[in-house]
This record gives sequence, structure tokens and C-alpha cells, in this order.
Amino acid sequence: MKRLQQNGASVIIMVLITFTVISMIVGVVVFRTLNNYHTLVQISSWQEALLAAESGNDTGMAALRATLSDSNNAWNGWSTADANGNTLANSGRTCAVSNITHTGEGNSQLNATVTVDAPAQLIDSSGRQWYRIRATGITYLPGNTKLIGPDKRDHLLRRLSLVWDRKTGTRVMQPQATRLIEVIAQPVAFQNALVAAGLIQLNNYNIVIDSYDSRDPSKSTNGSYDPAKFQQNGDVATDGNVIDAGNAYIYGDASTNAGAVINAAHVTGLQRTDFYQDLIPVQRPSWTVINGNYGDIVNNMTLVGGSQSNPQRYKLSSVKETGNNVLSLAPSAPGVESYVEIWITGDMNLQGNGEIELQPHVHAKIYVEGNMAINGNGFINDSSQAPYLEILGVHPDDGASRSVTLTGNGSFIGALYAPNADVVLSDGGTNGTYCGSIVAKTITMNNHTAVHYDEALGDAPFLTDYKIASWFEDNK
Amino acid sequence: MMTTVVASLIIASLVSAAIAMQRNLAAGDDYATAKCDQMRVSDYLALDLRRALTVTSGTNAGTLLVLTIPDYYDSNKQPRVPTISNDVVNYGSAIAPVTVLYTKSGSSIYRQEGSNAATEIASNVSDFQISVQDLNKVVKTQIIFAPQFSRPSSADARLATTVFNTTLLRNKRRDRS
Repeated sequence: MKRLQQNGASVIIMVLITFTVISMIVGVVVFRTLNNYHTLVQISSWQEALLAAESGNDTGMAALRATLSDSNNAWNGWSTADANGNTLANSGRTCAVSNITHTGEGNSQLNATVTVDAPAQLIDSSGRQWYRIRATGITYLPGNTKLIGPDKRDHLLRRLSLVWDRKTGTRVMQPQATRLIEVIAQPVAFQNALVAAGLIQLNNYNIVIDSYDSRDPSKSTNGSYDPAKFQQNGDVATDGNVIDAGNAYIYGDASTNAGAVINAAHVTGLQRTDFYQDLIPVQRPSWTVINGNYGDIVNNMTLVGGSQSNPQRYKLSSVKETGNNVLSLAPSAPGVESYVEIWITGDMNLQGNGEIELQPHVHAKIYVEGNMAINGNGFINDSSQAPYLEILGVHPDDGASRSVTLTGNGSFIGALYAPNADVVLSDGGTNGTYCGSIVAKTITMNNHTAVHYDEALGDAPFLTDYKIASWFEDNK
Repeated sequence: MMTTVVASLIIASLVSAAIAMQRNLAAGDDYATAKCDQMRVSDYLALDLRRALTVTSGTNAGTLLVLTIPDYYDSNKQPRVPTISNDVVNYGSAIAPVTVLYTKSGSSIYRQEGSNAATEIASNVSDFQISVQDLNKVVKTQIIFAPQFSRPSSADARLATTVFNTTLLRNKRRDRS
């Protein structure tokens, strides 16, 4: 009887020891697994917070871009005061991006708040205001856990707000990961040599597209293109999906919108598929003061410019210069920087030796509602600097396409922004040089045409877009 | 006698099972730890590359990556308001961005930001293989480690641990024209 009791006790002890050992093993496994699980969900939430913050920045950029086409409604849904009702500094505006949700394990909700402001320090030498966009992406740690991962090195990288917001010091409703991204949005004009909404077709391998910078003596000579100083920023891009490079020499990137660049043997830059630029339509001018209102211009005529703050504005029915007739755009006085704006409600047609002459020191902005045909040296830019001349194709009421042709063997120096126009360069000629930038519906180039993109056009007064000039994640 | 034999067999089985479980746990834990280290290093690299102004991949065996980032914080550790010069956004001095240095020393990987002391961001990673491929506008990194489920780990097992990261540099590079 006593022996049986001893055996029974031994078995119980063995079972207890075994149970204890197994329990300890299971405990360690569960503990380590939970730690790893916490770390992984924190990594996951932290990664998603970046996406939320980038969404916030995209929202800010979209609002800025909207100011270019619909300034009255661009800031709908934004507030000029913070949560406490205090007016934001630097003319700031803020909004909360609608919640983004998804299914699956871990965090399933992304929030973002974004602020856009205009500090005085962000006015450039051209007097243009740049904007600061600060977006905070917020995601949540699932299970309402306040347990932190075991490795302290993770906390230095992935800073979480478990109880208190690490930026504001306020109590958080739910443990969360936040990431703050600050971008600086630069107002820009012409960023590429060629941009089209649709097809870009280069029909000859002798075509050359490159760049120079008229502001920089190391990249130009006396502000003009110098083949010895050419740059490789002659980027070509389309919102469509085809660029037929025709084996032309493109010294820059060729970008499509999820499409392809064909015949691209001589594209020196990248071939990208991630391009899209909203080509903002040009509205008809709404001037309150017009300094001269004329009909069809067919003879010699001179239009004089004004100051930058008070440019002289002229409305013309059309321009059709032939023979040796010249429409001169002259400064207010010799050597004085002068500004002239012209609104042509019809066509602009320069044939034979007829021409428009942009005299030195004159900055011209020309709105054209009709078609444009410029033959040979039909448009003379005496300053030889592309930023002095901007030709803007007004968006037609009926939405129909317009045509722009630059023919013959001459040269043209200026910027053309006509998102509704089909542009043809050197149609019928054998040689043509275009210094500037072209934005159009479609672009076709023939023969020995060359386009030299002037990088200074990126600062032209006519804004076509905002781009991100600086990006920084504040990880403190 | 029989009882002793049976008990010994049971205990031996339990011990064997415990050892196997422990080794499996250790290998699994090592894998998870290595994975976390791998993710941490990858996330650090991606964080800095996204905001980098210049990038130089490893110049010697110990240096993995050298890059510069904007000098975003002032002396009080507060964000600066940037300025614009020649269409370039500068935080602080235009000519003195903050240098971030990634090095591998011994079995650890360190990250040093500016004049701050180098911080260990991963340890016991002597088996890590880190490669950086500079493709101008994007930088690709890949990190491989040796799992311990079998020793030595096969090439396929190592390859299966690879984490690739392709990071688009958000800022225009200042070390390229």
C-alpha cells in the first residue's frame, strides 16, 4: 500500500514537472510571438501612415493647381482657422482628408490633415509665391494595444503615439502612428521641351531636341542657344500613351502616361511611363481696361508696351501680315523693359516676309483664339530670349481643335501654350529651329527641325502648374 | 524495472521534443528578429533616400551609403522655414546639408546623422548582405540574411529572405546636373 502511494506521488510530480516545462515553453513562445506581432503591426501601420501623409500632400497640390483654372472654388472645404478657431499664420488653410478605409488584418483606416501656407520667405526673386504644404498621415495600431515592441531601436525610427501625441502633447484617442511630410510647391511655367495631351510624332532622325538656359552663361552665350553648351534637359512628355521618337535625337527624358516610346534609339534620358500633367485651359482675357481695340491687322503697325504693373493691352480681330508688312511691338522708350499683352480674337497668319517683330526689352503675352500659321522668320524676337514671348492658345468655346503651323526654314524664339492645338513644326520646309517650349494637343515635327528648350521658361510669368520643389519627412 | 524503462523513454522523448521545440523556437525567433532588423534597416534607408539631396553608394567595405538631407531643424530642434535661392529650396545653409552615413562595423550596422554620434540600428547582422544600386532618380536596395533553420543555410534559403526596396528620390539631386 505504501509502495503504491509512493509511485502515485512520483507520477504526480513527473506530470507537474512536465506540465511546468511545457507551460514555460508555451509561455515563452506566446510572449515572443506577441512581441513580434506587435512589432509587425506597428511596422505595417507606420508604413501606411506614409501613404496617408502623401495623400494629404496630393490634396494640397490639387488645391493649388485648382487655383490656376478655377480660383473661385479651389479652396472649397478648406478652413483658414485651426481647430481652436485661431486664424492660421501665413494665410494658411487647412483641411482633413476624408477617411480612407480598407479591409484586412491590422490597421484598416487612414486619415490625414493638411495645411497649406505661404510664408514670406517663400517668395522668389521673380516675386512669385511658393507654398508650403504640411501633411500628417495617421493610422491606428490595431487592438487598441498600448504595448510597444521590445526593440528600442524601432522606437527611434517608427515613432508612435500610444497615449500622448508625440508632436502636440495632447492625449490621443487611440494608439496611432503618425508621419509628417513637408513639401514646398513651386509655381512653374514650362517644364519640358514638348508636352502634348496626345500623340507626339517625330518624323525624321535628323530632329534634335535638347536644352539650354538663357540665364546661365555656362549654358548659353549671350542668352542664346549655343550648340557647344547644350544641356540634356530637353524632356518630351505626353498625357497620352505614345511617343513616336522617330529615332530623333532627344537629349532628355521621354515620358508617357502608362504608354511607350517607340523608335527611341537616340533618347539619352529615361523613358518613363508615369507622366501626367493637367493641361489647364487658357481662358479668354477678362480685362477691364483695353488700351487699343483694332480690327484685322494687315499693314505696318506699332504697338507700344507699358510697365510690368501696368502693361499695355490691345485687342485685335486678327493679324495677317504678308509682303513686307510688320507689326512691331515696341518698348515704351528705348532701353526700357516694357510689357504688352495682345488678345487676337481670330487667326494669326504671318506669310512671305510679313512678320511680327518683338523689339528688344519688350515682353509680350499674346492670346490667340484662332489658328496660327507662322512662315519662315515670321516672328522675330529681337531679344533672342524665349521668356520674352508667350503665345497662349485660348480654349475654344466649342472645344474644337485649333492648328498651329511653323513652316519654312526660319527660327522661332518663344513659348507656346496651346492645349487645344495640333502643332506642326517645319511642315514643308527642310530646316527650322525653335527655341523655347511647346505645350499642345498633338505635336508633329518633320525634316531637320530642332527644338532647344530654354530652361529659363520654368520661371516664366504664365503659370501652368505647381511642382514639388522640396520634400522632407519630419521624423523627430 | 519496466516502469523505469518506460519512464525513461517518456522523459527522453519529452526532453528530445523540448530540445527540438527550443531549437525551432530559437531559429524562428532568430528569423523574426533578423526580419525586424532587416525591415528597420530597409525603412531607415528608404526614409533617408526619399528626402536625400545627394547619394553616394558604398565607397569601401565598411561604408554602405553616404547621403545628404536638408538641414531641416534649427539649433532648438525646431523645423526651419526654408528660403529660396536660384529656384532651389534651402533649409539652413545652402552649402551645408546634413550628411547621413551608413556603416557596417563588426556585426552591427550604424547610422550617423550630421555630427551626432553614430547610432546602432541593427546588431548581430554579420550575415547581412546589403547592396545599393544607384539608378539616378531611384535607388534600389536589397538586404539578405542567413536563416538558421538549417546550418549552413542554403543559397536558396538566403535568397528567399531578400527584401527589395526601390525608392524614388523625391528631391532633385544636387550631385547630378
